[in-house]
Amino acid sequence: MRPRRPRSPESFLPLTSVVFEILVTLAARECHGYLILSDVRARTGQVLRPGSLYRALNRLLDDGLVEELDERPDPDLDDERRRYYRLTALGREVAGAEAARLEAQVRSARAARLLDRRRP
Amino acid sequence: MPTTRIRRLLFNLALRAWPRPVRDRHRTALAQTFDTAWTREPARRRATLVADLVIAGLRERAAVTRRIGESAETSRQTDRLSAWTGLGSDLRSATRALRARPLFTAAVVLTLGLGLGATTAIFSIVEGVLLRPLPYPDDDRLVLLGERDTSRNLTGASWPAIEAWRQFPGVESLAAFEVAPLLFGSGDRIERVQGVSVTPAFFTTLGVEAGIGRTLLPGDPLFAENRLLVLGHDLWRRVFDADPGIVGRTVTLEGRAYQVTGVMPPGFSFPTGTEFWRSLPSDMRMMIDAPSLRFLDVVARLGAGASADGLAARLETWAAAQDVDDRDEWRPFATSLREQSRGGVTRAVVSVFIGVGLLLVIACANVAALLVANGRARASELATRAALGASRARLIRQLLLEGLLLSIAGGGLAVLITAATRNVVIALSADQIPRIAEIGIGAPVVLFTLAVSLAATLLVALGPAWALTRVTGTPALRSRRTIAGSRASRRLFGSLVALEFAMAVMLVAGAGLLLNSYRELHRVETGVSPDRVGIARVVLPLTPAWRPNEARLQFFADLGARVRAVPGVQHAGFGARLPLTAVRGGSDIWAAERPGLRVRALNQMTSAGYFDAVGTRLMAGRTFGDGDVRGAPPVAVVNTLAAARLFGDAASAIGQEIQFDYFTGPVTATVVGVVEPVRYGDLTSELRPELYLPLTQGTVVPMSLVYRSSVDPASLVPAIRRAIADTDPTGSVALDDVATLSTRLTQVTARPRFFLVLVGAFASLAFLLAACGIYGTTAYWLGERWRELGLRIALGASPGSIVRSQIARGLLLAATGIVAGLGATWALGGLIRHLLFGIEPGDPGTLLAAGGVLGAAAIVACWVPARRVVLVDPADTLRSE
Repeated sequence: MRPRRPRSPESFLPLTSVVFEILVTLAARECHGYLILSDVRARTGQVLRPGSLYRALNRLLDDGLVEELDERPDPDLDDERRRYYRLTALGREVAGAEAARLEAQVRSARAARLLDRRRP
Repeated sequence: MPTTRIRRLLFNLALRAWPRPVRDRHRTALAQTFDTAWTREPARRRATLVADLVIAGLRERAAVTRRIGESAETSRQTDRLSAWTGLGSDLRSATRALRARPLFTAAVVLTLGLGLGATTAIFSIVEGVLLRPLPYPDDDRLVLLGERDTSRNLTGASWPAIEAWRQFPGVESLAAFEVAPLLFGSGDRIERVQGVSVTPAFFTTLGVEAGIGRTLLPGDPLFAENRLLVLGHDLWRRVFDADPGIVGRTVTLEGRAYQVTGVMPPGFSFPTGTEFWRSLPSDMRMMIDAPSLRFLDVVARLGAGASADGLAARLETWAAAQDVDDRDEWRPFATSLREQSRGGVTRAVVSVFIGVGLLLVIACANVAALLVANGRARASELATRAALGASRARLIRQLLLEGLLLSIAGGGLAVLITAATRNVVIALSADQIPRIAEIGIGAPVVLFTLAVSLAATLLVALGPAWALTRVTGTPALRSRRTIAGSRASRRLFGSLVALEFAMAVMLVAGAGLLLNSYRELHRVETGVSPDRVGIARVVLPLTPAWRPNEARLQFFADLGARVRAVPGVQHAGFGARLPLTAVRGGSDIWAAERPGLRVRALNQMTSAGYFDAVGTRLMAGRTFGDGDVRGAPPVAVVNTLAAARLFGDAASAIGQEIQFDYFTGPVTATVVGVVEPVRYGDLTSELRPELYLPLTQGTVVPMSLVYRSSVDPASLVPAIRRAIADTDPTGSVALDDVATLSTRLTQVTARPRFFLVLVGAFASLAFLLAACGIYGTTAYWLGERWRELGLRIALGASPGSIVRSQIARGLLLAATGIVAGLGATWALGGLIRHLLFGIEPGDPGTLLAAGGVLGAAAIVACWVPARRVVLVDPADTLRSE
């Protein structure tokens, strides 16, 4: 694993939706792999599979946005020891930056009156 | 079938698609997530799960490969970019590396500088004297024409011949000239100035124009009463104070009026030494139809397509068709002006140039040895750099850059040395090497130096660079003294030493031969005793008052008496010709009783006292005295060669009558004395029979004063000038070309001395470099093995035997080189025979002496470092182990 030079949060933008959703999930609390999958499904309805998840996780770990924690059992599932992940400070900043970017996009869309007819 | 096992199997298989690092890192977590997903989700989703895992793995693999490719591509791009910025940093590190080893750098630059300096200095002579074109447009189309009398070494052309040659196809234009000096100035500012009378086409043939005013042009009259004059630049400044109004003015010289048409630009002087050019004298009109009066020199410009050889052939054909009495004695010639301007030094200069090449080879051999030794000392440093990622090409580039810096420094030093020695070289030539004053550090010389230094350094640097960068890391890092490496370098050093000694012995032998040749030259019989003998030309004006022969004879008699009265003057006399000067002409003499036996003798006219002044020994009879005046019986003196040919020996000649043609008619005279032969020309010219006639019985021709003094002759010149002024109060007599016989001798030996000093300097340098070379390689070789030697001594070997064996080894190498070099000298000796006098190129004494000198140097140069090494306490070597 090559040590990477510290990068500014903005340099990670824009994030893919998969990566963003993972960060949002981890922003709330520390999760293990399956927990992320179910959380993302629950929140966005997007079906995320383990393969894609771990690809993204691998990258996030390399970039220093996420860090691994010691294994501990999840009481909601079986009692197997699972590896937990959580956001780093940088990861939190990056997620926040992406959220801000998305918000700005939504604001422009609203100003262009694209959201008027879409009220759920 | 238990789903667990299938699940596990499928998982493992799917995981194979992932790249290994990622697979290993996330296997456990992935397995768990996968298992949970497998069990928690509907069974129909399991296939998708597996497929997703496989695809994700493949995509990750692809992503990894792409990432690697990208970073390789960027590093290639940055490499290309840094190739140029890398050059800057390579230069800096090259400079640093050289500064970190000041002794090595200084040694290389000094050796290169000396070797190149000598080479460049000689090349500047080659360039200035041999290669540079003359300052005329298309100078290679200019030729000198004429006829040469092979027995008398006279050249000239007659007027009818010139008219005929002018019409030849191939001759674009042609001009004739005759050397005719004039007296300028008056009072004690009288000087005799070299000048020529020329035909009007002279300047256009050469292709030059006046600086001020105009030159003579083809439209000008051939013989004019109002003669035209063109001044040389120096003459204009010296005599006319650079007066710009000189053009068009009429000046009077020697009683005649000349109209100045113009002034030439500085530097123009053809023929050499000419300071003015004037139109032809009207009395030359009488010689137009005389084919045997060959008093003119001719310069012609060849037309397109013509060649000097072709013209010479055409001249031969023309000559054969001429119906003249003396046809058989004259042969025409056509020499290119450029060739003639080289004055016959071409072969000598080329030989010296080859000699200095030998010196350069020695210098390069030393530099090569230095580079190899230095490289081996840096082997570990280079290996470290290679291990840290520097490519071989990069390392070679850095080493070559160091070589480049060294060669530039060496070349710069060479140019400085050449510039510094230029004046010494010119002074050494004593005006005897044509065009030597023109040598300089021009563009061709600088380019030559840079090119040779670059080629030499890169050549000797490339080998070590290539060999060094072949190290592959670990072996070189571990030890600098790998057996294979040191054996190879020992062979290399050995060959370099042998090569150096071969070249050095050739140069030393060459210098020895030239030295012996020079000594032989000085042993030549000159027939005079040149110590403290002053000479000067006495120039009488041509005004009517001076025309009568009586007036002149009286003048010389009075002047002779006054000069002899000057304190310090032992003997004085006058002679028409001076020893050791070039002479032309001669006439036949014969014994009155035997008119059939004719001897061609050199004519000389002297006053009484002449023989004592020059120191020519009297072998029999007497010299001229006061009784030998006009009206008295005609007398003559001959030299021993004439006496031997006509009468058998000197004594028999006394009292005999001889006859000869004089320009007033045939004369009979009695031989009253026989003197030893005098040498004219230079020391290599042959002695010839001579006939001396007394001044008082003849017609005065231009005479020179000769005086022997007890003090430095130059100190008596003012007194002699006063004597002239006293003898001729009108102040129209001039003393010119004041010199001494010693300076004449120096001038005459200048050329061989010039080449002797040059080759001697090279030989000394070569000797020094070869000695340094063998000293250095011995010291280095011993330095590499001093531990081993210390051990040997500690174990009982005697220091003396080690020293002896080292000397023996070095001497063997040197001897190989010396023998080879002497063999080459002996074999190629014929090439330098033209430089030698009185000694054969294969002279065994000289060759053996050269070999001996270098052999002795080898012994000493090996002894010193060997001795120093074995004096080291063996305990020290053991302690340092």
